[in-house]
Amino acid sequence: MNLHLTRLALVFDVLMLACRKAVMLLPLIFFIFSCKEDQDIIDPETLNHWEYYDRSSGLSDTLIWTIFQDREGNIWVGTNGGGANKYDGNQWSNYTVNEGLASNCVYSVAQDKDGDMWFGTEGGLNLLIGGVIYVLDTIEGEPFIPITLFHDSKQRMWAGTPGYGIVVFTGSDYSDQPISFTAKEEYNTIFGFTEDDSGTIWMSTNGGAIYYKNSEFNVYDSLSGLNNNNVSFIIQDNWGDIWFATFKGEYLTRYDGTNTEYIYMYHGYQYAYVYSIALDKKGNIWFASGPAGIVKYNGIEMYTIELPARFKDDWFICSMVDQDGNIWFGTMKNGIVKYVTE
Amino acid sequence: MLQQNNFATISSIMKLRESILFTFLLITFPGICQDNAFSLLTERYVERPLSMHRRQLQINSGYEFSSLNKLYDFKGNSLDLNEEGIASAKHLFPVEIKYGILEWLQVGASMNYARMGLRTQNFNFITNAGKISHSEIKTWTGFDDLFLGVDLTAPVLPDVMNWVVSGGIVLPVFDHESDQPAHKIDFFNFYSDSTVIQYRYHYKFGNGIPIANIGTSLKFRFSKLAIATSFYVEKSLSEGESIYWQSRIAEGEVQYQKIEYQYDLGQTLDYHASLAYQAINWLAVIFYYNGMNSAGGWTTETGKKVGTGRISINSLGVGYEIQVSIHLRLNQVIDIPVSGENTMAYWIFRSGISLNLIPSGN
Repeated sequence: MNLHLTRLALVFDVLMLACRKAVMLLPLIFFIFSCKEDQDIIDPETLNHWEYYDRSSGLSDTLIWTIFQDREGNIWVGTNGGGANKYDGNQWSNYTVNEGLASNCVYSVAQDKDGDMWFGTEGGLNLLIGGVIYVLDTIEGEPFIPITLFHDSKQRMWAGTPGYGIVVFTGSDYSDQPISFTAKEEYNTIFGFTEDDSGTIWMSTNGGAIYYKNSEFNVYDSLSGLNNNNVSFIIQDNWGDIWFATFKGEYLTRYDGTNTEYIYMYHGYQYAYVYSIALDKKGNIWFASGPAGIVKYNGIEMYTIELPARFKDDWFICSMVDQDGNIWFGTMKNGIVKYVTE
Repeated sequence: MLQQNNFATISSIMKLRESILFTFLLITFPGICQDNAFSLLTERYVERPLSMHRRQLQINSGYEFSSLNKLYDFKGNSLDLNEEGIASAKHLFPVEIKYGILEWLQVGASMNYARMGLRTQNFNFITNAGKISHSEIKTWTGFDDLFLGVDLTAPVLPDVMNWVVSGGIVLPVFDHESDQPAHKIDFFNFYSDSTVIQYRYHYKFGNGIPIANIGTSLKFRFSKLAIATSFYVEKSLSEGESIYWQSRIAEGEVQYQKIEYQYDLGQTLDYHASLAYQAINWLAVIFYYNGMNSAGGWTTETGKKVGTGRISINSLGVGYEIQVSIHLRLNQVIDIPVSGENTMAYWIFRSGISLNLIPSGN
């Protein structure tokens, strides 16, 4: 009996000792289990690489005129002969003449405040509303080919044409067109629009840059300090300066509102046509050009990006930064190149 | 009624006196013979407890030199940075103060001052504007954060085992934001028609956010040997905000602007093990294993909430400790990285001095 009691007492002592140890370790155990993994954090191993999309990926054509991301995150691509391609993050789908587009040559894509998609095609303006495509192919008897579309912060849709100036759709249903601008012939081909942080709308033309501010159009051209009047693309950097790329020359023009400076694209080519510019979230500026390829500028140095050999003779003609900060480039021959940024 | 009130007052005063007396006894009760400060201060390494004796004050300092050896990538592959032309050296001056309030309760504070430089190799490329030579120098200078900690010794098998539970906090007392860079750019070198661009960044060591630290240590003591192991968890208590500097050349000068971003350091596990051999009474040789594993950190520097990735490093070290006098101990350790993931690996040479005091009269 005594032996039995002694054993029980020993077991009790051991249990008490274990409990005391466990109590001391409780804060540590609680602390470890409070360290939960945040599901929103992006794995760095999935970043900092290039992805390529071509016919084998599901693109219907590899000459890319434009790349656009809608508010839902879908990527829309305007191709030369394959209509509009839509990428939902998993697979590509196509909108062509079979679905009602006026042409399979899609120069521009935009989304309005109602979420409806606008396509500028060789056959006119196409609106995708509720699964139905509506076509506007002439305005005042003139063919209407929006080679560029831009929806600004004041809910206006700007359309630029090849030789017929601009058309701006305003009003709650975009039926009003109070703003129009036609002047010298070289101003009437509009390659692109940009809105700066003051709300000024900038337009790239063959006669320089046109800007719309306080309900007036003005011109910023070589007489004002622009390096070359054949402006292909305009962008505002995160220092607040406006950059002008041109179809000719190896210099870019940077304008701070007062002073103009020319930035030399020393990437080893005798000339470069810069078609498009993208600004990443870390302030680097990416130039889509031909034949120099993709050139990155970190504010101090220009780097030509090394890509696979098939891009050596290709021209990069459009670019776009998506909601995640990834940079998309469209080419003339090889489809799309996407840089998944760090 | 008045008498009842008086009785209650006297009773509460007596309870208070009892409490004070009990607390006094608890604090002053000699768990170990405190009147022999000499024997406590000259304890052999293998016998010494992990925390301080009651009323023992320990001040530790020294110098640590680290040299960048290699880099471990995400997959744990080792890259020899000396061959890549990347070099880095770090000079660290630690200060640590520990005090034993009771035989089982220790408080401590520590802080480091450090300088570190990291230089990348020159990168040259030819353009039709001439040769461009590019290099980067990054420096870190200053104090890191202040650590305040408490150690509690568990009264379990004190003759063989010493078990300590530790808790603490790392407080951001110094500025953690990087200073403005000072890039050096020489255009159109007269002789070679080249541009030399040297990127110079200046960083700080501070974390910028408070970090909680909790852990436990065990030491098994034998006549000639001691085996110790410890395990600590660190976790940032809040998300932090900091800046990085964006730079550009405009009108012939380098201009800078601050860009703000958020970050979190995530959680870190530190684990250590050591085997000490008491060669002679005043000399102990110690073999170390040190490991660190970190995860859950992120930064929005690039506009996205990007994880800093899982980081780990394992190193082996060897060192010794000499009891120079009653109050003075010296130690030296060399620590060499052996494996890791997603981190730069430094070999470390550390020389330490430890001053130990127990006021007389105990």
